[in-house]
Amino acid sequence: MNILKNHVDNIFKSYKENKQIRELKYEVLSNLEAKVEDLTNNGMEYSEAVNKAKESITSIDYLIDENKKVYVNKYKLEYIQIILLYFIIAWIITIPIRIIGMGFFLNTILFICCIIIGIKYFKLNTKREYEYFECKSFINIQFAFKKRKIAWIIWILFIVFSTLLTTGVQFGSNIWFSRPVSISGPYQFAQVIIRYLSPIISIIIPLVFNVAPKLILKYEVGEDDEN
Amino acid sequence: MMKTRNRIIVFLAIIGVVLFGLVQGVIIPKNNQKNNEYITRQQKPTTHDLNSVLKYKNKYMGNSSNITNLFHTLPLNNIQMYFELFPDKLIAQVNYKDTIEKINENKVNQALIYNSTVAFALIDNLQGINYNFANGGYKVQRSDVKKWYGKDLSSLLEKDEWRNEVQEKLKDNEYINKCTKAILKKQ
Repeated sequence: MNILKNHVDNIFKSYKENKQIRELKYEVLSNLEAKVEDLTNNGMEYSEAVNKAKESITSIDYLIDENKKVYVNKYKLEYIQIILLYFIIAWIITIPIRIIGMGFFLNTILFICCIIIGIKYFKLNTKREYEYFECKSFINIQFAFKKRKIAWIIWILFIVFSTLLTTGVQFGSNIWFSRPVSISGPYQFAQVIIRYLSPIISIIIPLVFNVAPKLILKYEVGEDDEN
Repeated sequence: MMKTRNRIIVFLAIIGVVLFGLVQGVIIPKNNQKNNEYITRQQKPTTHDLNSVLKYKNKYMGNSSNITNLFHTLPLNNIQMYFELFPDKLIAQVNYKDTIEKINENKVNQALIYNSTVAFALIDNLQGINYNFANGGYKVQRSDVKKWYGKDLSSLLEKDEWRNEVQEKLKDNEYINKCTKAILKKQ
């Protein structure tokens, strides 16, 4: 029976232990044990019965409420399209700041990202096979919501940290020695503004995570589609 | 929806490429040219921008970073140099690593007159500057410079006054020769 328990543990390994998972595990294991008992009662060898029972359940994704069966390649295609759109917008916004110091670096990175994502999107978009777009798979929507929340929290912390850091680097000595802040010209003023505003462009990262749950629901396989 | 988004992506990509070309091919080269012209102007005493050094105005010569930064924005800043300060004598020493001949004697004289005038006008208690080169040097005293201009040196720091009394006059070689004899003492 240890073999069956290991099998059940294995198919549940990507799920965090909670009440629903524990109950499901118990239920699946009981079903498998009953199946083995039934098969052995009908004259089958024990090891063969165990293998047969194991083969009957290889995935439990469809049993988990949070798992949505989606047209995974359609989902991927639209997701990459949206990511590409966000990166192109960020790239265009940062083009004018190429003139000033680190703006050049930021804009070049975004340009490289656009090229890489663009190639990936183009490759996916040129696939025309019916089977490819009809391919279905399970995606955990709860996990997508969690990732979205974490992405926003990290982004807010990053913005607070980078604002404090910029203030420290830019005006730290003025604050410490109570000296008035002096900005000698429009170029220097623009540099200060850009140092404060450029981290905000990283908002595209939480926005990318924001899209995932909506797309999961959009491409969820309906009952009619299943038939 | 996806088709519309595709059109938006193509449209934005075209805008991006045009904007990128404009910034990279027109604005940045123009800016670089402007910066190079500014750096060249800053090398010449007759075109040096006084506003760029007014922030170094200080009562005391003992502030070494202030005086070092000042000389790094004055003519001859393209020549490697290091500084020594003698606060007990209120003297600053600038050691250039090139020879006077290599830089050109007229250019050196013109630059040292200008640099000394700026330094004395901006740093109130600086009484003397020693300029050392690889093959000789000059000493400049505040009293000699003040006598040459015939007025308090800080009063020269007005835009028009500076242009007329300091920069315009340094265009005349005869003026430079006379001034060199009056204020630059060979060491």
